[in-house]
Amino acid sequence: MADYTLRIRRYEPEKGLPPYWQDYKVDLEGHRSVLDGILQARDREDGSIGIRCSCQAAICGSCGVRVNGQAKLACNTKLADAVKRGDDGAIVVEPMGNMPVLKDLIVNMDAVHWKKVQRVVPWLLPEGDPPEREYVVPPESMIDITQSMACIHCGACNSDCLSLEVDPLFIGPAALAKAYRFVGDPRDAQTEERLRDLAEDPHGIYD
Amino acid sequence: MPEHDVLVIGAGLAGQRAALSAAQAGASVGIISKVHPVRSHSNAAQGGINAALNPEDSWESHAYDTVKGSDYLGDQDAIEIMCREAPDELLHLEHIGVTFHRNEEGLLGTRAFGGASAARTYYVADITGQAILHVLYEQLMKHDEVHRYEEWFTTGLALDETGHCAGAITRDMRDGSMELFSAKAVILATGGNGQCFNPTTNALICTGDGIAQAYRAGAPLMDMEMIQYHPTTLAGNGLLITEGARGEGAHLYNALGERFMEKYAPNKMELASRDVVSRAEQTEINEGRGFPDGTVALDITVVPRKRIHEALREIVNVGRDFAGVDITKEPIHIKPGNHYAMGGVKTDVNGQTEVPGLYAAGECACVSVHGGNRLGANSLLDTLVFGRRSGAHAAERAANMLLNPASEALLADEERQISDLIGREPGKARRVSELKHELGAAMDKDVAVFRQEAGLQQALETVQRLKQEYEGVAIDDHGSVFNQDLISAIELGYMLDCAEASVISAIHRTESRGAHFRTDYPERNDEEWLKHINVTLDGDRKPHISYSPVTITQWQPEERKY
Repeated sequence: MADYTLRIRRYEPEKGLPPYWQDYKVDLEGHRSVLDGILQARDREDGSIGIRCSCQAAICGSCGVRVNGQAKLACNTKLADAVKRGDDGAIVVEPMGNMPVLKDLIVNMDAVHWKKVQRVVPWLLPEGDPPEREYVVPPESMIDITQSMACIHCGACNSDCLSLEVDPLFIGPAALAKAYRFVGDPRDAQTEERLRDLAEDPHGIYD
Repeated sequence: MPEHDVLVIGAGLAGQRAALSAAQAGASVGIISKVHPVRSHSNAAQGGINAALNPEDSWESHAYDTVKGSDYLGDQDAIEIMCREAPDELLHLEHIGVTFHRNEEGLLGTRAFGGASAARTYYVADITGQAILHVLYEQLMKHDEVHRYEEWFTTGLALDETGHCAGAITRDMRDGSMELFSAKAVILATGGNGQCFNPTTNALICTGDGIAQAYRAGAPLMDMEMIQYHPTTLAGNGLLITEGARGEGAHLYNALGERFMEKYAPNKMELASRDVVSRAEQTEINEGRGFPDGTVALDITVVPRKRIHEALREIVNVGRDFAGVDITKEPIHIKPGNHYAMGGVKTDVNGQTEVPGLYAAGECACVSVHGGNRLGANSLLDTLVFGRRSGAHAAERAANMLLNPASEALLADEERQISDLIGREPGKARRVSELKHELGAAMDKDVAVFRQEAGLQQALETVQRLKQEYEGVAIDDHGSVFNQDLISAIELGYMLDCAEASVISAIHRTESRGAHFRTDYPERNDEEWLKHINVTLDGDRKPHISYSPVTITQWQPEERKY
């Protein structure tokens, strides 16, 4: 076991106070995650620390936070790796960026994440009625779009997106990954319309 | 007060499928979830979904495998329905956009899975559950007439004066406001209760909410002793390594380098049913042929590297990030770990519980299609088939009745109880987290792969003592916004109810069947125990045991060998 210090940015909206920093000492092995550390602090010391978390295996996308200034999933960031980069040895944990904080490490993802996903018409639009059996498509195309289908919508990309900082209306990387999942899908019949729609949107695709 | 024809609680696969099918049948639908729907634990289903779609396969073969896998405790009428409807459900998913693996001809391709006599598992790499969950959520976004209540926590069901389910009492987690929902039908789709165990493959949200809510409302729970230990989980943290790894050809070895499944299941080897493989591993470990960390080895290096990266991509990440092992180069240490609740709220084949107006689907329900042991890749199928059927049936019920608004008095009672809990001074009671850890350890010690009377009695004593301690529990967070401390405390209450029902059922079943292996009763005993154990809360709020028959259509019980 080793001792680690987690420096968590706390914000309790009902108290009417500005955000503040609070240190928690945890004793865990270095291969355990920052989330394990936060949960230990919550279990032992202060049950009011707010963080969304569920699977603890980097598949549900709940625990996006900033660790030492970078967006990460708390559950697959090891304590030993995180501590190397903290300046006085403390692991600094903050809520993600570009999204309003609701409480402690919990941000409101509605406007910056979910509404933009909704904006790309995120459902399959095939031509005509479906076939009796499956659509016959090249195997590589499914492997290709499964890469963007594997996005777990943790919000880390939007948190650290510089374009979003400049233009909060920019559609952002998560929604574009969702859009690609349809653009690259041979079953979808609206490929060109989807691309034109995003290209003509001043906050869509640009270079 | 929000009103809907059909109110769905839980937004994983079963809940989303139920909501979509109820909406398609013309009902006004609300769907409540304590997490954003794409955070649901259906995400964790890695390996795939079973369907006898190939012309050379048959639903009868799928059904027989399922019946045998269940150790003859599954209800064969329900199993027949599930296996008959599987191909259409699978094609529906394909048509709405799930990116299923294709073979070289561009047709749906399969992989082998445990306990199956044909390769009939369809999959998306090893993220099948996630891929389906996200596509169903796409459909929910498309059908925005379905009202979504994301991050709302259900604290209890609302019954009317005649005992019918008339809605639910909920808390908007974002601001702590309490709301009473009225509905003509309520569908529970809240998932399993694996958090009763530590370690478990289950996410932190799998706390048996709906199972306990239905139980408290008077619905019988069934097969609660049937708890699956998955053969390949990481020691310590319980993370899942998909059965797909063995489906792709991976082997199991003990510390002596023996491929020990030869002794236990010479025909199916690593692809025997999960209960069989877990018992084999635990026997090797108990008899001293495991590794010092209490594990055996899963060797995936026999699978071609390119295939691993294509078909087991998530497992590569899990091995690297959570065990420090490159699975393409070396074996990974695994052991049996808590994974799935075969039992749950007793329902008929349309999802109806014994409380009128209350439905259940998915892991929280017990139809029973899994009986004593669930086959891999049958759980996704269960959620979708019975989610769809529940939604359709609930919509039909709603179309033929008037709404009877739930009583506001229930809301007032619940608000008072919750504000008492939030404001409670910490007395001598231990912390919620301590009680939870003790529960998890006790269950994993004595209600696991091998069980016996003394251990089960010990577990029951622990659970009942924890229930008493729970009465005085206090929390740290006294606020309204995202009071997760409060949610954890309420969830612990649900878990304790589920655990008690499981342990009592396990003590009661004095035979060995499926996942329930009693070292003091090592044989299956069809004469006495070819029946379901039901648990209900009596008038005195104590659990009460009763039985219901197993439905047999065309497969008589026979000896089970793999």
